[in-house]
Amino acid sequence: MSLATAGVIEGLLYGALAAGLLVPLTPRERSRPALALAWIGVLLYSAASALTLAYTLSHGPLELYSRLVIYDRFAAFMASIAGLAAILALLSIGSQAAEWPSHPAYYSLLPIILFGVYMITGAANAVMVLAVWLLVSVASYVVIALPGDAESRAAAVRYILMGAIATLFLAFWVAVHAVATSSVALAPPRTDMFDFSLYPQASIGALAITLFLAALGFKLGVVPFHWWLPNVYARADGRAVSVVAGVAKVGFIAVTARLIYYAASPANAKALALLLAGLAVVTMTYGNIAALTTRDLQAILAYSSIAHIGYILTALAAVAYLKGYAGATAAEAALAAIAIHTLAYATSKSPLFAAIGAKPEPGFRSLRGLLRTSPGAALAVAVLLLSLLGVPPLVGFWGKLYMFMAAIKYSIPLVAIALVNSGISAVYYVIAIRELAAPEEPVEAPPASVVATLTAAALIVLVVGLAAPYLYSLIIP
Amino acid sequence: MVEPVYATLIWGVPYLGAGILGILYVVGVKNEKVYGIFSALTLLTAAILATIVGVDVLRTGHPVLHQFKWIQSINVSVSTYIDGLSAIMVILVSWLSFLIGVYSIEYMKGDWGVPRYFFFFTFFVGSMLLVVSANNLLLLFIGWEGTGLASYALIGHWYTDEEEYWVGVPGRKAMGTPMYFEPSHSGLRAILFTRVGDIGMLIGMAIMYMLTGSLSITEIATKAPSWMAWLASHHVLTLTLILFTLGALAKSAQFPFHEWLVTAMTGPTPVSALIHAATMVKAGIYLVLRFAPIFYYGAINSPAPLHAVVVHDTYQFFTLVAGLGAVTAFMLGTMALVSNEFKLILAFSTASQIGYMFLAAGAAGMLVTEVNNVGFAMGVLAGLSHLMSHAVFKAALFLISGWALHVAHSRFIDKMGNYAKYMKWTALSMWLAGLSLMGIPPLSGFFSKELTLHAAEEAHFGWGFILGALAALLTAGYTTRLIVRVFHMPPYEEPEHEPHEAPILMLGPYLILALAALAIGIAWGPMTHVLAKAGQLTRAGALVLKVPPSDLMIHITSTVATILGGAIAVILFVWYLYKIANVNFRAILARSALAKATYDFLFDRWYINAIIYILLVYGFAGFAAALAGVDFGIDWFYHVGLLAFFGASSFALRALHRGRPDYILSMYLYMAGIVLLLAYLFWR
Repeated sequence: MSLATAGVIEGLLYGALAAGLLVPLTPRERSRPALALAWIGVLLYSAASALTLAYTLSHGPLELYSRLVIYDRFAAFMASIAGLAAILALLSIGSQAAEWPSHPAYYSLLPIILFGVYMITGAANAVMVLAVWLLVSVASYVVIALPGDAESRAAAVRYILMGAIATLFLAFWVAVHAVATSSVALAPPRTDMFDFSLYPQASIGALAITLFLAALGFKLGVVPFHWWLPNVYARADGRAVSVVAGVAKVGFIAVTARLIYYAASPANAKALALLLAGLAVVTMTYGNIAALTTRDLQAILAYSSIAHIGYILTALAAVAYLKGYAGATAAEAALAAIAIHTLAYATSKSPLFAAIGAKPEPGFRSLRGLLRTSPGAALAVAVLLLSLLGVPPLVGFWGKLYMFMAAIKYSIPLVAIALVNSGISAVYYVIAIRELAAPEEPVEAPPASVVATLTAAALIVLVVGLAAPYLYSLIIP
Repeated sequence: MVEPVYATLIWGVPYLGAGILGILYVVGVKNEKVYGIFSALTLLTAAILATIVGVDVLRTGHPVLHQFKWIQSINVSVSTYIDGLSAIMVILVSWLSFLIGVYSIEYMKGDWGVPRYFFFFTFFVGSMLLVVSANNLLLLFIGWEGTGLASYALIGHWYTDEEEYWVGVPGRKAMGTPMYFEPSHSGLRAILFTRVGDIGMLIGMAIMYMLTGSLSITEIATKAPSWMAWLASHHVLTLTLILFTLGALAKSAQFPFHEWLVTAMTGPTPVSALIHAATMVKAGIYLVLRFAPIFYYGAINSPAPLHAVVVHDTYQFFTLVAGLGAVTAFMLGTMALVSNEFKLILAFSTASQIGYMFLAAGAAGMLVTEVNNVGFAMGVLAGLSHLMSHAVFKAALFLISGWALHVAHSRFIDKMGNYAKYMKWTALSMWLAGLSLMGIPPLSGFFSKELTLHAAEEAHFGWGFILGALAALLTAGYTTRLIVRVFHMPPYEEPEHEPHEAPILMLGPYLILALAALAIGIAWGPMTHVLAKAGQLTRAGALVLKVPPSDLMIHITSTVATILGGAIAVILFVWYLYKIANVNFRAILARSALAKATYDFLFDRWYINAIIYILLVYGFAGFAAALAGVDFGIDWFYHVGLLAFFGASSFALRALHRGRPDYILSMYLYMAGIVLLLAYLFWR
């Protein structure tokens, strides 16, 4: 059964990869064949992740490629989120990317990135992580540069430079990991996690984890490894950012969570949790405070992405602590909370970045007065922003609720800081929402594809929000 | 037996009348006569109803109760109960209101606020009648506040604040605070001063409701022994009784709340006569007379283990009431001696005379330690009888002052003089009412005042009695001074107008009232029977308000003879000073610093107003300013400070970002190094 399912899933993934690779063969002057292939790739990937999710829910963990990739419920859920975010991104951009000088690269890279996301989300091997990292990273740099304008190219250059160093950190981590464990495998030989610790030796463990966090922290935008992020997220074309921030990032969140989960043990849980909690506090505070005074919706979204990673780090600190002191089950509940929050994050960010980038004048004033020109879109944007803020019953509320409930078992002050931060974030979200209703010089109505995407995303955020407690109970094994 | 519904109609009719007056104004009726006549007819109807019900109660000996459900949840119904005390009160209030209403038609002729005047006037009468006939405290409180509202509106009737309507000498200051008051300011003072007391009253009501589960006065009376014992066992009985009575003290302008009444004289004179002499200021003493038997009954019947404590606490309470009454009687009497405004003299006198009533009721209650029921009943009924006689003669005096002010075109007696030559009937009324006020037989004031002093003597309340007796001499002094200056001496300053007799609509009411003061005195024998019967018919009165009528008669004892002789001597002395010795008081004041200081002390009302303003008004204003400062600070913190802090932090954090690749690369490396170091540190 497992073997047959694995075969089907692998087949679907190869199909998605093939679709991406076939795109460059389509005629440059036409957009439809490329778009169709991209849709095929995205949908094949979604089918693969959905099948993985179905299998893990009914049969337990799924092993692929001789345990190079192992999928549990959390990973399968995360992979599905990436699929959903990719569908929203592609739906929003439609044939717009055909106008870029690089056409049809966008339609080719999206399925390729998804293929990488699948591999890294379930990666159970350090070398595998490095390999897929390279694939996804390079694809991401290129995506940022695709629109071809000066801002996008400048952002891509910074992204590449930082990425090169981050890759070195990651490679260093692989080496340390190999030395520390005499293996390149991440997963334990057995599937149950009790008493398992990846790095039993204290000092080398600290080095391994710091190197890993320095690399992945760069991808996620963890302060103080975030230096590239405001440049890329706030300045580059939003449609390209949508793929990097909404799709690829899901895979990186998943692999980070997985490593922390494996690494935590009674011996190091306290130190690891403290490290993560410290990073969480500076990250969310930085993101929220920096977002306060900007009046550019794209910059707000960029800084709020940092803040959201801060909230996720709060839950990760809880994962580390609970794995060490309360056992695997409690830690897995915290992981499930992260999954719910990532769902909220990706379903809001992907369409919002895509919608902003579609404007002729990106950034400032991008959505001012939208309520008059396109009330449906304005309403949808408001719903998505409110979900990011964490207003019930939208899914963003449940993500924060479950994460903070898990973290409260670790540290009440940490949760208090997170709540205060969440309160501060209300300021810029509300300012952004107010901007939608500003009376003077409204923007033109966005293209139909953008309006449709925003509406669909808002509906997802609302409906999933209503069903969030059920989803949460599904992810916990 | 009469129809019980009449009892509710006694106060219902004036309220309805006020409502109709309001509608008439809204629909645009312009003719002012309509308002005056309609109001007078309404008041006449109420007076007739009150007489029918009141006489029936006193004759048959059966109190009348009429009620219908109102607020089920807190057990309150609209319940009117006319017992002995209420019967006397409704008759007195309604007829005085009618007479003064008739006077008002003439007095307010041509005024720009006639509809408003009669609306509030009628509304006031409804409220006052409700106060004295309500069977539960909630209803009573509604009437109580209604009278306060009407009082506020009528004191400030001339709210445009022209100088001719002020009280006090323009520009005069005491301790830096102004001693002259505009109508709008006076109205506000009245409502604020009384509100202080009302808060205490509300708390007292709430405590009684908490302990009895009812606001019905009958129920509170029946359960008095138990709830008073409960309060005594928690050491708050005295405090609760005082809190409850604060409302009465404020309403009746007793020290230290008397200041509002003095400046209430900015209102039209009929208002001063009705509200600030005859009725509303009596609401306070009415409440005390209503509850004194209840407290007394509760104390003497309290359960054995707590009996001594309850009696002790009740005694303390009654001593305070009697003491405040005595102090007020004396203090306000001294102020009246030097005042130069006709109405102001009468206002001081009013507060002073109500002080007698509090003295009587309080002294009666002090007998609780001796369980002297007859003495108690005598004291309470002494308070009631002085209430009654004072209402009549003081209303007459105020109505006369209205005519005097009108004739002189001034409120200062310096501009009045020799009125006896021009207006015989008015002079006659003035003398009758004045002699009654001074307590000269056979006028009603003699009997009632001697009774109150007798009550203080009976209770062995020494200093209270002495203050009361001194106040009687002061009364004789200031009243004679007033009558002599206005009616029998040439004016100090030449008036611009020739005085003449009042028109019949104005003369009629005060002449009737003055003659009534005489009639009540002559008929004091039968009156004692009515009072004694009213006492017995009052709640809790069947047990503790039993007194033989003969005890309410004045027997010539050495005390009575001394006080009466003193009063007559004072009258003659004042007459001698002004008419025969021709003493020039202004010259004395100019010469002697001591005389001037004494004069200023009295003229500026013992500086009490100044002290209240400096301590409370300016004190609270300062407190408010300080709070405003705090508020500003909070505001600043949220709207400026916090914003600036976060704004600056935000800009600073974003300024950390530079687009330069070398900068972001090195930051990345440094930071990774720092995190690594920290991680090592913590892993130990």
